[in-house]
Amino acid sequence: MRTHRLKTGDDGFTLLEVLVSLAILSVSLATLLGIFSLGLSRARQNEDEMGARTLAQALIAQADAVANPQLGARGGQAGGGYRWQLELKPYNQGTALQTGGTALASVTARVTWEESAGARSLTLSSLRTVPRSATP
Amino acid sequence: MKDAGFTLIELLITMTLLALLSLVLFGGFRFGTRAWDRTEGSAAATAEIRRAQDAITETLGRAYPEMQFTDPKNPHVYFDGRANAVTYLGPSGDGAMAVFRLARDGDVLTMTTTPELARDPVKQTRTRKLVTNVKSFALAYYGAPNDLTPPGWSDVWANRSRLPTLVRIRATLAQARPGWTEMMVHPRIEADVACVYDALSKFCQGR
Repeated sequence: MRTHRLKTGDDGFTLLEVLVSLAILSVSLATLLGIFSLGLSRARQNEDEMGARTLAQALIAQADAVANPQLGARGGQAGGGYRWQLELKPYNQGTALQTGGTALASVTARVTWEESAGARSLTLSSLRTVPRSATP
Repeated sequence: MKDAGFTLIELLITMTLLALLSLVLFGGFRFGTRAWDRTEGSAAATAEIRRAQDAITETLGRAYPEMQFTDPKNPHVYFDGRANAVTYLGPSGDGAMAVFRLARDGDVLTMTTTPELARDPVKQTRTRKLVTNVKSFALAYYGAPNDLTPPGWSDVWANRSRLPTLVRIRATLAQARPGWTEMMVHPRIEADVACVYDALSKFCQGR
């Protein structure tokens, strides 16, 4: 009886070949799933950053609302794991902007928070007028 | 013979491998679609809150303190702030003024806009859904009602001669994330510049 096998190699896959292809597939699948989880963590970062922005805007609004603010820095904790720092300091002292009874002060709100990848922060700055007597 | 077919062992190994493979593959796909949906939902909710807060800051931050003389004994600015709703005059985006009302309607935070000079206020009122799944919504106002009273927080700001210096907006949403971070808005316009008060007539001059 004659066999119709021409050469070796066309009689299917060997176990080794299947295992190798399985390994390649699992590696590529892991990469693909990594992209999905990256998307999830990015969405979380986006949420955290939005909260930090709202908090920083609220801090600047509060600093704007006080008639005679104290220059200097203060800080504290807020809900959602945020820590904040608000700093008022003289802006462009000794220039033409500081005339008459008013002076300019820069208002800087800095919010920091922890993420799985490490600490992140967001800083917003604004200017406001203060009585000249408040500046050194 | 070598090419007579598969042996039982070969078949079993192949089937086991195939089963394992499809298990991993389907598990991966399920995780993938769920992660995709959650990312999409979270991004949409975040964008919704951000848009809502921007719309509030934009209009409330530029609220106009227009003097009202409907009650000559008590002239007051156009601003009606309550613990659960606030009505104010602000820029409508087309260069004109509009009356804004921010309130909770069921579990939706809505902003209704009526052009100040609307011929038919009912027909021309537009309602915009700002945020859905709202469980609670509370407003508070900070400021001094007049020069003699020191500033403080209050649940009501109505029939006053000036705007509050700060409006605090708190809300809780049905989902834990993304949450609503407490907002503070500082209405920047302090005086009705179009009104030069006439003590004799108790009205704005030329109005």
